[in-house]
Amino acid sequence: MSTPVVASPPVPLKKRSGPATHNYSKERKVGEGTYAVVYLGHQVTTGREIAIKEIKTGIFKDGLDMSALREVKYLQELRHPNVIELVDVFSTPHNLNLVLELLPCDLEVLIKDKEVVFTMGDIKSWMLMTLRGIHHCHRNFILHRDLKPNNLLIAPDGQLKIADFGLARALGNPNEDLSSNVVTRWYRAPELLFGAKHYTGAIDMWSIGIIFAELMLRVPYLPGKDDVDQLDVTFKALGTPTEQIWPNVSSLPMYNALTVYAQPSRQELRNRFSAATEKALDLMIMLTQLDPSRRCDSTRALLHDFFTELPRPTEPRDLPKKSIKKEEPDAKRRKI
Amino acid sequence: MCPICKTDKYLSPNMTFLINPECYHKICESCVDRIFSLGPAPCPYPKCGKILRKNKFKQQVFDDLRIEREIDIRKKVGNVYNKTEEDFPSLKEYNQYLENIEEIVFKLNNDVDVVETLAELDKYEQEHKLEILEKNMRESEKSADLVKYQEAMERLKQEKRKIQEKMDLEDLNFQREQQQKLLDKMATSSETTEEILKQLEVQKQSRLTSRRKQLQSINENLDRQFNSANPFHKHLPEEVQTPFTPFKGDRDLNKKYTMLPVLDAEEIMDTDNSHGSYYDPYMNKLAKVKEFLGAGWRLNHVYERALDEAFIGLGCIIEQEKTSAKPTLV
Amino acid sequence: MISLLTPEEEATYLDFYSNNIIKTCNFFKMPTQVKLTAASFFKKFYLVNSVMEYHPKNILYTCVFLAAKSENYFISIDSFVRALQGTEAAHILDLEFIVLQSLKFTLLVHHPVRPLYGFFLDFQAVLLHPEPVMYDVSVDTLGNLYNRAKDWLNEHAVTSDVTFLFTPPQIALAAMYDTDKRITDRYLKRKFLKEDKEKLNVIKEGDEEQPDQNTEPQNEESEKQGVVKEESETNSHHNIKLHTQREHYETLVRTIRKCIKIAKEVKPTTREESKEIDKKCFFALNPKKLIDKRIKRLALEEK
Repeated sequence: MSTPVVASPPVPLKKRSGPATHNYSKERKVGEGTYAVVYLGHQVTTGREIAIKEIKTGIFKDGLDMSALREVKYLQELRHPNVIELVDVFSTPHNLNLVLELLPCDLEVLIKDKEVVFTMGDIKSWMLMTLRGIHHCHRNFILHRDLKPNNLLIAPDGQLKIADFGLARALGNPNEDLSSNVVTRWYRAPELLFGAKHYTGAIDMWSIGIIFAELMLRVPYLPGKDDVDQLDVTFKALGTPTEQIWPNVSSLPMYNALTVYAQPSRQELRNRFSAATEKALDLMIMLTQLDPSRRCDSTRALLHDFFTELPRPTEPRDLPKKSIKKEEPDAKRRKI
Repeated sequence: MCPICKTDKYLSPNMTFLINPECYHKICESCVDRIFSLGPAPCPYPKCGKILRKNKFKQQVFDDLRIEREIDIRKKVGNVYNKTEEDFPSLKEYNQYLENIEEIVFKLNNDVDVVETLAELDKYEQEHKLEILEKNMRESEKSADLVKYQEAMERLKQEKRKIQEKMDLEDLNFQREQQQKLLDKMATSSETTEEILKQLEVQKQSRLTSRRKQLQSINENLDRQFNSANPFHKHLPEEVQTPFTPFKGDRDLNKKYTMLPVLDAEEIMDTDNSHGSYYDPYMNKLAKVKEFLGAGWRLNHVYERALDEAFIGLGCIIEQEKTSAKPTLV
Repeated sequence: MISLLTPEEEATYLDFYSNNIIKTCNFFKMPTQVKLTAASFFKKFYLVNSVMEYHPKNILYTCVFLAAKSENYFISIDSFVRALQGTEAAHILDLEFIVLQSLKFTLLVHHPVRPLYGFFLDFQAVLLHPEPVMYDVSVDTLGNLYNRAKDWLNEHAVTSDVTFLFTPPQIALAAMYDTDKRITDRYLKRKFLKEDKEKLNVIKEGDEEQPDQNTEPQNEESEKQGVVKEESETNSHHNIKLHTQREHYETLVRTIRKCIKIAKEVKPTTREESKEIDKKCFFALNPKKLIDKRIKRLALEEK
C-alpha cells in the first residue's frame, strides 16, 4: 500500500466463481479447524504447490466468520516477502476458498525439534525476517495481534512468513476502543494483561521479544498457566511495573499490583540468556520494556546494532530445517 | 527446583544442576558440595541410596536423561573399542566391529545382561590394552595436526595484516608527496588552482584503484599458497555478499511533509495554541486521558498516521494510468 | 412485454438507495467509517450486477451488515433484522456471500476522511508556522474550513462516482478546494511550487519534496543519493526542477477541479421518480408475476 491507493481491488482476482475452481486441485486434507479445512494442492496451470483454506459458510449464526473476513481483508492488501501470500480467492457454492502459498514448516516445530541446533546467525535471520514482516504491517497501520512461533511459517527456501491474520485489525480512529482479549496468552503484552483498550503496535513488538527469548532458550519464556498466572510469570521475570517505570499504568482498567517483584538486573538476565551477546541482550530488553511507550518499534528494532554485529544473519536457504526422520505426514495438524 | 534444598531456579537463575552417571538424579551444585565434599555418600533421593563420588558429578548436556545416559555409555565403550575404518582390511569387517559395539551399547543401555556385558568389556580391554593405547596416540596426533592448521591460519592472518599496514604507510607517504607537489606546482605553474587540483584528483583515483588490485592479488596469492599446503582445506564456493539493508527498501524516507513538534500530555494547555504545534482541542483532550497514555497511545502517532494517509496516492492520476494500461487487462 | 430498465434509470434508482444507506447507518448510530464502507460496497456490487437481478433493498442491508463487521462494529444479525422492517435474517445471510464475491473479496476501503484530517494538520504547518502566511487566516479559520470540507465529503463524495476515479487524498483536497479556493490554492502553491524564496533555500539542503514520488520505488539509499545529487546541482538543473514542479502542481489542480465537477454532477432523485422505476423493476425481477397478470387479464377478456 505504499504504492498509490486506488479504490478498486489492487490485484485482479479471478472473476466471480466458476473457472477459478478448476485452476486449483485439492489433493490432501492436512488440517481442520473450527471454521476451516486446509488442503494441499497444486495450481493447475503452473504446477505450483499451494495450500487451500476452505472456509465453511453458513454454519455461523451471524453469517461469515469474523476471522475469515479479517484474514481476507488484510491479506488482500499486504504483499511482502515475509508475509504469507494470498494467491487467490475463489468461491464454491458453500465455501470461501483462500489459496495461500504452501509453507511446510513453522518456527514452533523447529524450536521443539531438539535435534536441530540454532546458531546466533540463525536466530538473527529469523528475527530479521519477522521484524521486516511486522514492519510492513505496521507501516500500513495493521496490527497482527497474534504473533507466536506457531504463526511464523517457514517456506521451502527458508524465508519466514507471518501468517494467520484472523485476529488482525487496522488501527482505528483515535478514540476507538480495541479489544484487549487478543494474542495467545504466553505472548501477550502487559498492557493487554491489564485490559488496555487503546494499545498500539507495541503489543506485536512484545510478542516478538518473547519469541526472541524463546529462540535462545528453546523453551517458552513466559508460560503462564492462566491469565492470572500470566501476570505473575511475566512480572517475576521482568519486574512488577510501577508508576515510575511505566507512567499511568495504574489507570489501566484491570491494573493490580499483585506481588511486587524487583526489576531483574542485567546480570540476572545475562545468566538466564547465557548464549546472548550484549547486543542481543540489549535488543531483547528494548523489546520487552513493560511500558509500551518505551518499547522499541519495528523501525528502531531493525536499525539495532544486533543485526550488524557478527555473525551475519544466516542466508534463508542455509537456515536449519526440520529433521527429516521425525516426519509423520498426517499426525501433526498444520495451522495456517 | 532442587528437590533437596528446594532452591528455585527463577529466584536464583545462576544455579546449576549436576548429575552422577550412577543414578542420574538431578542435584544442585551447592547440595553436591555440601553432601559429597567429605567423601563418597549415598544419593539423597529417597529409595535410591547408590553410593556417589563427587568427582563423578557432571553437568547435564541433554534434556532427556535417557540420551544423557546413552552418550555416557557410548563414551565408555568407545574408549575401549576405539578402532576406525582404516584399521580394517575391508568395510565388511569394520561394519561387523561397529555392529558389535552397538550390541554392547544396547545391552548396557537397556539393562540386558549387564553383568555379563561389563565382564566382556573388561576382558576385551585387558586383552587389547596395547592396541587401544597405540590407537589413542595416533588419534591425538591427528588432532595435533588440526592445532597446527589453526596456527598456520593465524600466521596467514598476521601476514595479511602486515602487508596492509605496509601499504597504508606507503599511501601516507605518497599523500604527503602529493601535497608537496601541489604546493610546488601552485607556486610555479601557470595553470589555475582548479585545474591542478583536478589533475591531482585523477592521479589519486587511478593510483587508488591500482593499489586495490595489487592488494587483492597479493592476498589471493597468499591464500593459494596456504590452501595448497594444507590438507584440511575444502574448496568452498565463493559467497557473494551483498551489503546488509535492514529494511530492504520497505521504508519511506522521503515523507512529503515535515511534522511540527508534538507536545507531551503535561505541556498541553487547553487555551493556549501558540506552542508551535498542531491545534486540535478534541485531540488535546484525548492526549491527557491517563488510560490512553498508560496503554501506549500517543498523539504524535495519530498525527503521523493522518499525515501519511494524506500523501499516500496523492500523485497517482487514475485517468493517466487507465490510458497507459494494457488493453488486455480485464 | 417486460420492459427493461435503461442504464440511466438504473443509475437514478441506485442513487436513491445510496441515500438510504446513510439513513440506515445513522439509525444504528454507526460510525462514519461504516457508512462510507457500506456505500462503497453497495456501489461496487452494482458495478457487476444489475438491479434487475438483485433488488437493492436487501443488498443495501447486506452491505451495511457486512461493512459493520468489516469495520469492527459488529452487530448481531438478530438485533440488526429486528430493527429493520420487512426483511429476514435468512435473506441477508444468503446475500452476504454473494456480495463478498461481487466485491472480489476486497474489503479494505480507503476513505478520504483521514487524509482530510491530515491536510487539516498540514495546512496548519504550511500556512501558520513558523508565522502566519495570510493575514486573515488563523487556526479557527482552518478549523472552520476543515468542518465545512467534512460536510462537503458527506454530501458529495459518498454517493457520487468520485471514489472510482480519484484517490482519497485527491478527493480530500477537492473538498478543501471547493470549500475555500483561496486558502487551498495558497497551500498548494506553497507546498508544491515553493513560491517563496526562503523555501528554495530549504530545497538545497536536501529537503526536496516532489508530489509524484510515490510511483517510484523508494529504497534505503534514496535519501543519500538525493543529497549527493543536490550537491552537484547546477542552476539549469534547478530550472528544470522548477518546471517539473510547475507541471505537477498543474496536474494536481486539474485533477482536483475535475473531481469537484464530477462530485457535483449527481442530482438528487425524487421519491416519485424512484417509485416509477421500482414498478418497472418489479416485473423484471419477477417475470412470472407479469405473465400471471397477463393470463388473468386474458381470461377475464374471454369471459
